[in-house]
Amino acid sequence: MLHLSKRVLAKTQLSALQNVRHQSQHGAARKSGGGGVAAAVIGGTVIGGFGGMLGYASWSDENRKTIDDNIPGMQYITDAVLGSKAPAAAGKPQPKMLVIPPPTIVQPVPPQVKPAPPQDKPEDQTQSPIMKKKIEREKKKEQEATENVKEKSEASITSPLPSTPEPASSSIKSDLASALAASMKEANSGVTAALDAAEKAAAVVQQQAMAIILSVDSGAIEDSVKASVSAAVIAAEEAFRQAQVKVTELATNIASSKSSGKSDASVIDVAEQSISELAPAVVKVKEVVNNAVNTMLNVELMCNALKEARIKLAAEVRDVLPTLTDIDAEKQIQLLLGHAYNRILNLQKQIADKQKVLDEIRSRGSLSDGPGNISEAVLQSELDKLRHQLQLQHRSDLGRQQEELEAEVRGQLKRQAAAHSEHLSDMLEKQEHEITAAWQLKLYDEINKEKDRHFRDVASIRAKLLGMQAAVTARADADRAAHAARSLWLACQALRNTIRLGKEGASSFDDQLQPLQSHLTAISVSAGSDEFVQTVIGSISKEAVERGVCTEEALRHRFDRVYAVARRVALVPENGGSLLRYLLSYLQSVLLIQASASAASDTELLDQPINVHDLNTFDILDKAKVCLASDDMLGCVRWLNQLTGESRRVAQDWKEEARRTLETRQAADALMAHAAATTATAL
Amino acid sequence: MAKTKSEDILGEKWDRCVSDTIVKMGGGLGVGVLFSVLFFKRRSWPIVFGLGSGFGMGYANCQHLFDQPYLVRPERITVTAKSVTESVEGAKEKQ
Repeated sequence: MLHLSKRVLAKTQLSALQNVRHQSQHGAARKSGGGGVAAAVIGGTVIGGFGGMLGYASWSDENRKTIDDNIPGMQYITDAVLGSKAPAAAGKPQPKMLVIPPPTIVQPVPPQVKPAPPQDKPEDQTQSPIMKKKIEREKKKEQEATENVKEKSEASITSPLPSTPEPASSSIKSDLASALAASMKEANSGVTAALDAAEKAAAVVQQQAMAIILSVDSGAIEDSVKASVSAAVIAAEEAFRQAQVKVTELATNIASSKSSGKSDASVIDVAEQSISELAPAVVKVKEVVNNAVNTMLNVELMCNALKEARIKLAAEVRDVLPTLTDIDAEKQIQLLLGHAYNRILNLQKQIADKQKVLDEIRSRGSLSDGPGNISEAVLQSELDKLRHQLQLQHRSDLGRQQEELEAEVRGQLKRQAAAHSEHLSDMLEKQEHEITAAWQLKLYDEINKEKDRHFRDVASIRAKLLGMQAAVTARADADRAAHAARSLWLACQALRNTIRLGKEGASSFDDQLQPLQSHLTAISVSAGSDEFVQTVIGSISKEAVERGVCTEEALRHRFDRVYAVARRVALVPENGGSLLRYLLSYLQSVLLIQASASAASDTELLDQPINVHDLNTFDILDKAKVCLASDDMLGCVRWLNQLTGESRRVAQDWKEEARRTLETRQAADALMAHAAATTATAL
Repeated sequence: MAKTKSEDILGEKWDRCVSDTIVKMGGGLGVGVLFSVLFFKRRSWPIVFGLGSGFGMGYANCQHLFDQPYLVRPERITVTAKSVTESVEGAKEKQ
């Protein structure tokens, strides 16, 4: 092909010049007139039509066959122009191509599936040849039109200048040659490009097909893959179309140059040779493209079959195991494989049957039997097929009906169970009520019994508690009383001590006097609201309370002086007397011998009544002294009370003091006795 | 001064009598001496007379002290307004 292009390259300049000439002369050709133009148009159309037909025939064997069949006698022309049919096809060097063997899985696609797959690509495939043909026809018409125009122009150029000189005709020749060379070169390069594009498309298609086969698990062809493949295929087809156009152009150029007869025979030969070389190349490109498209179609068919098989498998699995829902990918693949295996077995069996039927037909055909047997065998196979289908459908129907029945039975059972459970719950509720009532009654009885017992217990406990409380209160009262009595006793003791001893550490008997107020207050406080104590305390003379009372010791001491003075004034009467009388009384007392102090008369000892008027002052004083000596203060006071006259006056103070002391002591003794009695009761 | 005890009253009276008699006798002595020196040319009888008079006065006073000392004499009763009102009030209360 390279040498061809070199040859053509030499005449490039000529072709370019010719083109320029065509364009410049275009306006002039329009102006040329009438009958010449019509003849040129008719001639151009005929030549163009013929050339187009030839080009169409040379496009593919199919086209050629169509033309040969439709137009009588055309076979000879096509044989003459395009060469013999078979050798031309066989003689073409087949390009080295990687052809993908169509996958075996695609073939056993079920009959009902088969009409489905050709949807997107198959349409392309089915439509593309028609479209191509249409496009080719249109293009050819255009080409014819342009060529007609060209020829017209050429004719117009040539016709008005019939007497053009030789240099002019030689220049035209060179122009044509150069145009031929240029178109040859273009056709060459176009064919080369188309071949490249076709190879590329084939490679792309193969690659994508491999990828799809490898990734068959994913189930569907991705859109991007589809797009890339279709783009490659379209590019290849486009390149192929261009190449075809160029080749056709070349052929028309050759034809036009031939018809004009102005160009060199050598140049035309070269051009024809190149065309004969290019035509097989174009056919090869076509084959390559077709192969690629077929491969793509096969791959798609396979994918669709896979999808279909998967759907069918899912349906079957659902029939067999309605409960099985979520199957993980691995199991799904395994199931799919199993399903495919079964299907293949089934189909192989069918194929074997068909084979057998075919063998039978062949054998019968050889025996020239009637067509009845053949139809019987076919019928048998068809029946088998139908039986299988019906079996499948029956199985699926059976499964579905079973499922429905099961659902119904389950619903019935559920309803029955619900009714039963309702009845049970009713009965249970009733029983619960009865039992609850019975137990409630029992519980109330028990509670009442317990309550009574508890109340009894509580009552006894309360009584005990009250008794204890009373006892404790009594005990506390007694304790309090004992405490009070003790404190009272102590206070009384203190009072008595004070009465008996007076103020301790006093220098004289007068200083010994101590007020009893504090002691009496203590007694009254400790006695509380004791009426007796209060009365006794109230009975004590004011003098004794405020000043205090003389002690016995002091009284004894003072009695001696009282005794002496009373003796001295024994003779003096109550209202005094003269000095002489005092003198005589003194003398009497001095001269009188004192009798024994302890001497007591018999009457006194016998405790008989005494005539006090018989006793004189000295007797009384003596008796009083005796009484005092025998610690009988009361008796002493009693005797002194019998005194008369001045002696009585003398003894008056002592007597009062002694009486006060005595009554205070008596009160203290009474308090003491009361305190002792209280203490005794408290204890 | 505490109230005098009943047995000591007589003793006090005696003390007063003696002291009073001595004072009176001393006064009589002095007067008698003066009279004897001035008027009676140192004769003794004015002195004796003075002593006697003094003693006599003293004796009379003593006698007065000891004889009927507890009789309440009317001239010794002094009526004060306060006591009158008190007595009147006391009478009213009694009524």
